Amino acid sequence: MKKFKIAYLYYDLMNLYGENGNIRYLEKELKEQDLDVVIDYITIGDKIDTSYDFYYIGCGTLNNQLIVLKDITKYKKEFKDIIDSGKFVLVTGNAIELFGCEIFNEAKTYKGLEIFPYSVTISDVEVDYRTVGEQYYKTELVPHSIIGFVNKSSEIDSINNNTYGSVTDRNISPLFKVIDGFGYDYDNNKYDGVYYNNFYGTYLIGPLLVRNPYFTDYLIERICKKMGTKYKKNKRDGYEYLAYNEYLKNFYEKLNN
Amino acid sequence: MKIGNSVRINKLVTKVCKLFGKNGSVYPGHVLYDFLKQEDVLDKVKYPKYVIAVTGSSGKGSTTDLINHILTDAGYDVCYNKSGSNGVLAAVTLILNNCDNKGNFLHDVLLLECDERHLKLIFKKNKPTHMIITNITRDQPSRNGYPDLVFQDIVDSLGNETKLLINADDPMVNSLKFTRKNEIVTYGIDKNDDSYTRFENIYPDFAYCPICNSKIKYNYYHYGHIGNYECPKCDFKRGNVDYEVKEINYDKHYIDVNGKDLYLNKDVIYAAYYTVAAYGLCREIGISEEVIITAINKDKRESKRGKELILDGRKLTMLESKNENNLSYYQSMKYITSRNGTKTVILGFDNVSRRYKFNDLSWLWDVNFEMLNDKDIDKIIVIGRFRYDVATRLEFAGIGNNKMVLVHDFHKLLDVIKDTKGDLYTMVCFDMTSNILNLVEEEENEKV
Repeated sequence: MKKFKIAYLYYDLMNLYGENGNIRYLEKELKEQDLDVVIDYITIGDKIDTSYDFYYIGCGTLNNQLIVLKDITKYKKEFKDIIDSGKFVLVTGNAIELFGCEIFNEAKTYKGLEIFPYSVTISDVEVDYRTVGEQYYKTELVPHSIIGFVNKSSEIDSINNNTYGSVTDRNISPLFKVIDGFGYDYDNNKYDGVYYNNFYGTYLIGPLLVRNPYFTDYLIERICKKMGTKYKKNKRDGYEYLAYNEYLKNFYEKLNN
Repeated sequence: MKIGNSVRINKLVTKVCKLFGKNGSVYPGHVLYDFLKQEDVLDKVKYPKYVIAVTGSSGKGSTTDLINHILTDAGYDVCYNKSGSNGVLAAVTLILNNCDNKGNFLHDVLLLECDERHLKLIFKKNKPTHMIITNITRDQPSRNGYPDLVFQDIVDSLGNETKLLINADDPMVNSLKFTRKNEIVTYGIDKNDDSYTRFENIYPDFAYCPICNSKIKYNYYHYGHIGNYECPKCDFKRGNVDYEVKEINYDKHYIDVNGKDLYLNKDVIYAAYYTVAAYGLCREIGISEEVIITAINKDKRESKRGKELILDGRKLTMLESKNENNLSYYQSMKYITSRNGTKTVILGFDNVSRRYKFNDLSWLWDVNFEMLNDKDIDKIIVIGRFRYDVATRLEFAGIGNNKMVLVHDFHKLLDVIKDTKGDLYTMVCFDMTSNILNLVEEEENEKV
């Protein structure tokens, strides 16, 4: 059996909204593909290296995000290698902000990993001005709609190759198109997330892989292809599929037809 | 507007509410605060010697009830928000209804259970003399964002003149000892048989030091992030506490606080917290040990953890479990698994909240449903609109299809229940509770 190594990064800091569900679901699905899954829990004080096949970071409080930012920016080179070499990276919630160039908060500017050409503004009055709500997105990767939840007080200002072209020349695409809900910025609300090679970033919080099993199945197929193992078709009859279908039926029937 | 006019309007609107059969605990405040823009009305009230605020994510109501019981027993004239309405509008209504036309508060003590987010509105200028902070936990993220923000709201409301009685077992709350100039007294629970040292599945909040951001080390946990901890890098730690529960005896219904036995009216750990908090607060305002102990011990009505009824000829215990609050579910599961005998558990929901329309399901993965993997549990019945999401989570908790029954039509619930064994426990939120109460009623009516 081929080994598949997952790095669950900052599991004790970026775990605000049931993010463990993503790792647990991924592990289960990969095991069904006869991959020997190993999960390493990595946080402050541990070392991040490029030996993993899959990296995950979830959503955290502002304080925890800043603790993580200080630590993760020690690994700029590693993350460039990880992302450019097409390893799988999934980031959910405000973890997406770590991968941009700059973060502005309370008149302070923090440097990000400088991998993608965007800056982020975090509201100074976090509690009273939050973007909260259910989201309904489309993606070019799978025919099935994406469902999920956003709870944030920050936005990606704009994705701008002109401003940050000297730092990064990676041309990224949005991961999702907003059908109903919010995008990564307040003004346009057209797109959410970042997609580049096998980097998947979104502001959606929580166990989105569990809630979007069709999307996860697509990821699993891609992983199998990359690992050179034969993809075994999912029967798609588990509770998570029923939950997904039921949710669309109850809340988005009109939009879906 | 002069305070006298505000008082008159408040009393008048209250009378009108009563006339129309409404309870009127919030509406008069709404009229003054929102329609008449009297946002500073509480600043003009002449408060009594003792103004006690009780806040925190959970345990506010029970702590307030017990303090009221002790103070009343000790001969104080107490005014408190018994109805549980704990926002600023309810505070305005209650306080002005208990003032004379010059704005003098008419009782010895004002005792308020306060919504964490509303403290800064209630105590804008006049600060409480005493405040209890019970804990800060994950609760309703769609409304609150996350626990740190709620805590910051509490901190923003504080003045230096308030004496704080805080739960030292909660590192976030205890950080006040290191950051505030207030006079601070602490309470907590010592290590006991239920304390544990290792975390499984779900990682707790506040894992890092609120002072220096290093990872803190736990000597033991009581539940969630509540326990005994210290920072390996700086001075931050739980430390010694002023009012400490040294022993909890659930069978004999008592706790030992600083060598004195106090009656415990519920056999759950949070009862130990509200009992020691109420004891500590009353000591701090100068009531003698004897008087407090007599008051606590004389109130021997055993309060049940949940509502107990009969359904299908079996005992049904209804445990109110708040969605989006993993510790609320934890307490319910802890209670269920500590009971003897075969049992069947019912859970599920149609809506995540009754306060807002959002249905964020993330929290299902913060709840340690693994606890339901118990040999005494015969069946787990999953109801409601989100039954497949709950079932997905339960499957990950190792609960298989031989144990899990999904109910697609609520009207068939009783038939499903008839095929299960043992005492029944519901672990549901308010709306589902009333649906199940209706079911019990229907069953009773059919018998007649």
